[in-house]
Amino acid sequence: MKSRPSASVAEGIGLAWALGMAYLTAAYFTCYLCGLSVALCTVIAVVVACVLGGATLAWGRLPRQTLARPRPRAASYPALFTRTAEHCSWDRQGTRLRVPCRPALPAGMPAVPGRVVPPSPVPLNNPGYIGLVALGCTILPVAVMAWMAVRSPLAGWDGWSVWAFKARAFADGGPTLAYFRDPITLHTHPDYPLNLPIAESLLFHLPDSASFPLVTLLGPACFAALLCLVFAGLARVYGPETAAIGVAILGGMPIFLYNAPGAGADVPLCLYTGGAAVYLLAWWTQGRRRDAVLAGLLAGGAAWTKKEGLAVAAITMLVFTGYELLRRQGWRKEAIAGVLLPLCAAAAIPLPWLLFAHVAQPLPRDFGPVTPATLLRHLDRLPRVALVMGRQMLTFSNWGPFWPLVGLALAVRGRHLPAPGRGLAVLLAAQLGLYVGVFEFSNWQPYVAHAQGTLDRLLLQATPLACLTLIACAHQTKAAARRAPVEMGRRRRVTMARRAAS
Amino acid sequence: MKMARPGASPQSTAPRLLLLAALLTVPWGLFTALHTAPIPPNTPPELDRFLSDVAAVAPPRARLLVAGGLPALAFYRATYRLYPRTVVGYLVRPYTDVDGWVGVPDTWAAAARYARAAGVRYVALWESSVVPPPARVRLRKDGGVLVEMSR
Repeated sequence: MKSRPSASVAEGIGLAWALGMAYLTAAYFTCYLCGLSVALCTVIAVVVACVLGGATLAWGRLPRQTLARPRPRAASYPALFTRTAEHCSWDRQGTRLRVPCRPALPAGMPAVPGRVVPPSPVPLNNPGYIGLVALGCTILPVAVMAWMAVRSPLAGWDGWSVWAFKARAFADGGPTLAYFRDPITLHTHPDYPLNLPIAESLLFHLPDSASFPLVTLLGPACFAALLCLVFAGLARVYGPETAAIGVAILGGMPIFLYNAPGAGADVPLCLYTGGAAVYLLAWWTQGRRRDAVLAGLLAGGAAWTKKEGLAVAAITMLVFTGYELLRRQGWRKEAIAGVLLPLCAAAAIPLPWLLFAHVAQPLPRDFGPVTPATLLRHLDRLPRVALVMGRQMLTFSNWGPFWPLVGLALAVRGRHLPAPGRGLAVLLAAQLGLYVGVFEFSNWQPYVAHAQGTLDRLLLQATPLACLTLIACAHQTKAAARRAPVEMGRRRRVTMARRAAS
Repeated sequence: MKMARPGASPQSTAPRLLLLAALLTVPWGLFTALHTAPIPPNTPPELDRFLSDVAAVAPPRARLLVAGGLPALAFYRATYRLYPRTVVGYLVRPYTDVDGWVGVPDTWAAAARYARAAGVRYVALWESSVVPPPARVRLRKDGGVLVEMSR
């Protein structure tokens, strides 16, 4: 029986872009630290990225039986589109489109022993239309972003003053080690990781007329990759209709329109943090180890993209570890490896940068030393920053009604969430708490202006996670909540039976 | 909209709620997408042209003091455009101040004093009322002037 691999194609595209970029730039940076020339760095980095990326994709490929089997309804965006075309037909006169009303469909994804399959979404009467609308809602913003990027290349302030500056330095042979300790160029944030600048630097070898738009297109490309990962993850966990709607919600968020074509690092970071959250959800609901490892790798990509990405990655892996500690009944070798492997994966990609930062101690600009004394001294900042964040969440031009909806969903359904949904909610709360707490250590005066100028971009990084939480809440009912412990027990029994069999 | 009854199948309402969320959020996103204009360039073309001219005159390892109208923009843009030259800003307050930490010298004497202290070879002033000694001017174009402190 031939499978319909559209969801896994989307996943492959998203993973290839996200991890390919991280592998490429991390390998390039390692070669740069070894003092190799630009050409040699580029060749080695491309080879390493191809080998590691291919290996990751081959290892992380879904088993065939878990790919969507031919089902009575569409399994992905392209499939939804195709099905609409297949099932719609013109009437005899050829003047009116007839759309057959399909019957309610059997619930759930194909059952695989040992997997907790969450309740399938409601069978909607016309998934073809929903798929089409969702596809349009996703493609339109990405197309607008690409148009903005080409029309106005490298226009965002941070895009040229921080990221493109470093990229040009790397294209020119790489900055000297003195750059990282030079207070004159402190405004270029020498303490920020170099994933995006190194990726851009490879494009800066082209003529300016080509390189500027291409560099600016990296943001929209990262956003498209994020949508691919979110779609693939949600399609596996909740089904294709939910995935289509979820991606439409995320794709239509106005804040991405303003940020992605600005050539900043926030949307690339969002790709990694959002991707890690998607794979954590997949791991929690489906229990395949590959998902946990991919979550770790993507969290590592976040740490290698931006300074706050390191904190978000740490929180993500902390929640992952805490969840495992609470869930595990014993500590066999397999269980320990199941926790350590994703943690090692998270550390692997940013390792060269972390070692370099430990040795070179790049000068920080924005934040003072993270010590309990600083925290206690600035405790009075918390309520004001929280207020600024609340106001930002209510800024309709940036978010529409998204954040109030997330808050409402958590308030109404948060108590009934099953363990995976609770995990997402904890992760979201921790991430938002981090964004409020980080201004305790802000060097800027006045710090409120720092928070006002930064919080929209920080919240953007948490948006995919918030979207997943919203979807988890929307999928939760009291009946499902009552069933959740039973499913968890069933999962344990299946795992124990497997161990006994092996 | 049909609401879930206690004990009802969870499949009866879940995605409809999600659909409702999408109906509330997506139209605004689409409206924004259709009305968003490209980010306007934040740098006047004259500044970029002046910096290109400066780059043609100053050698790649030179150290320059750059200041001018729109102080932060002139300094940041020069840092970006003139790399690998080292660009020094006219810092008047701690760099952790949100506003006003980069300034413009009022007089040539102040600029020269700062330049000597920073050990720079060139001073580039853009959209500035400062009048440097004519003998040292290397370039005057697009509202800017490049002065060589020493050869």
